[in-house]
Amino acid sequence: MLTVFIAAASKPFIDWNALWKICVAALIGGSGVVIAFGILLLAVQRARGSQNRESVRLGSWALAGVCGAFVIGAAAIGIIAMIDKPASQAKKAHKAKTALVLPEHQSRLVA
Amino acid sequence: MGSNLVLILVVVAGVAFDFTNGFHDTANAMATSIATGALKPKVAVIISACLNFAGAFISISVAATIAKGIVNPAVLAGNDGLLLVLAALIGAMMWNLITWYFTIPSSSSHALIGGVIGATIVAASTSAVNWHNLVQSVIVPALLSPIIAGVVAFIGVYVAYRMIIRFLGAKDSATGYRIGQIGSASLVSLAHGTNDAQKTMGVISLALIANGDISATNFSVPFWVKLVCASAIALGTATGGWRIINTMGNRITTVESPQGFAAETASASVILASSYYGYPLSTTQVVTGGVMGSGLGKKLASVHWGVVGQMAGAWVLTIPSAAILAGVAWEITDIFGLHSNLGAVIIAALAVAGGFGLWSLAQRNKITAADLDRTHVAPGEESKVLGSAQAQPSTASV
Repeated sequence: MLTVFIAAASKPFIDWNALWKICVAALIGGSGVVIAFGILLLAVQRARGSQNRESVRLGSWALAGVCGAFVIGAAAIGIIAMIDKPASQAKKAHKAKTALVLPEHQSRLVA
Repeated sequence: MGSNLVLILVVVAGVAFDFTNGFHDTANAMATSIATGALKPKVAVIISACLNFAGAFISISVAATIAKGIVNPAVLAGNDGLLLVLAALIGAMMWNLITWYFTIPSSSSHALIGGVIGATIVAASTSAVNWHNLVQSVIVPALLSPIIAGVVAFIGVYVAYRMIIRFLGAKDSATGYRIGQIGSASLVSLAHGTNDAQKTMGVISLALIANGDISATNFSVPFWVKLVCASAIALGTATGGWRIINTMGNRITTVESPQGFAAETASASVILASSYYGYPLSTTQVVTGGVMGSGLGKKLASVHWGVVGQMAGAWVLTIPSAAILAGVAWEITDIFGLHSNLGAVIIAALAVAGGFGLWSLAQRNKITAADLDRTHVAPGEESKVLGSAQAQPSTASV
């Protein structure tokens, strides 16, 4: 009941549809990368262990590769998102409306 | 000639603000990397400076839209608009310097917004400010973003320590995560450059439009503005805001390299995801949330809540304080008449004097790059050293 009330009261100020997407993306990109990087380190340690069986070492290298790809992919997506923001594209298409002196054409603050 | 003089003052103030923004916000990206010994302090700030410079150019976003939708555009036109922007920049810059002196990380973006709001209220009225947009675009993201970054960093650190690092060993994890920190800190620096350098580009472009030097209908940021702003923020970053780096890296919590990596990746992901969906945020607040979350994820008692309280107080005060400073600056110009330009020269001179005064006071309790260097600490031993050796003000600059 309280949650419903808070959601209704905050609706004019919070875009819940964007917020949950931001939270999921942040969880994957933030927590996910930390965990994947840790698994990568662990896998490399196991793969380098001379006492481990060959199959274990190969499997560890494979796991390290997957985790490494995830980490690099997340960083690459971050850079692409930085360069190619959808909001930027919209602004590019409407250059004349993006000047600071004409804010009535935009609704978001970029600061 | 008169308005050209004000325009020149606005450009100089904008560049000066960008410089303060650079050294104020170096800590956002590099504090935890320096605190864990992943990078030498001077190497860290040089990397950050280069990435801030690059970041200022790579985003295709039309420059920063400070105050977009927050103040009535009519108040930003003509010579009065130039004076208003000058007062706003001076208010924001002075607040940046005050918080730097007190070693408190605060948002340069919010300072600039506060400056614009304060000057607008005094120059026009409270009705010239769109309060709904202020709450929606500034206040709500400022409240939510540190919490999201904190939760993300907390989960990353909690899972990493309990499920991975206990098997990996302290030394190997510290060595590995230190390498990772170089990448994650670089990503935060790049993100900072794409967002923050553009703010001043926008302000200077606004001044050029108000002065009739560039067209509002075919608006694009002149290359020289991009170059000057990118250089100013990069130079400011390279100067190294050691005072704030110390607060962010050492005084909030004792950071080990996995925690530093988590704080940086959480911050980068929150900033980039928000930016992607149209909500660019204050990097300072997001990174602080990330650092706090990373402290809580390892050990509940390791966050220094007194320091966090001071910072939260500064965040709450940033917009009103910068607004008051900018309002005072505007009133001073008003004393001399808005068309005399003498007022503009006087507030610029007062800002220089105030900045020099704060810098002189800071020389009494300096913090140096050498004070913060942890690269000599063996991997896995960070918490033992950091827990007992927060840098105390001793002997250096910025």
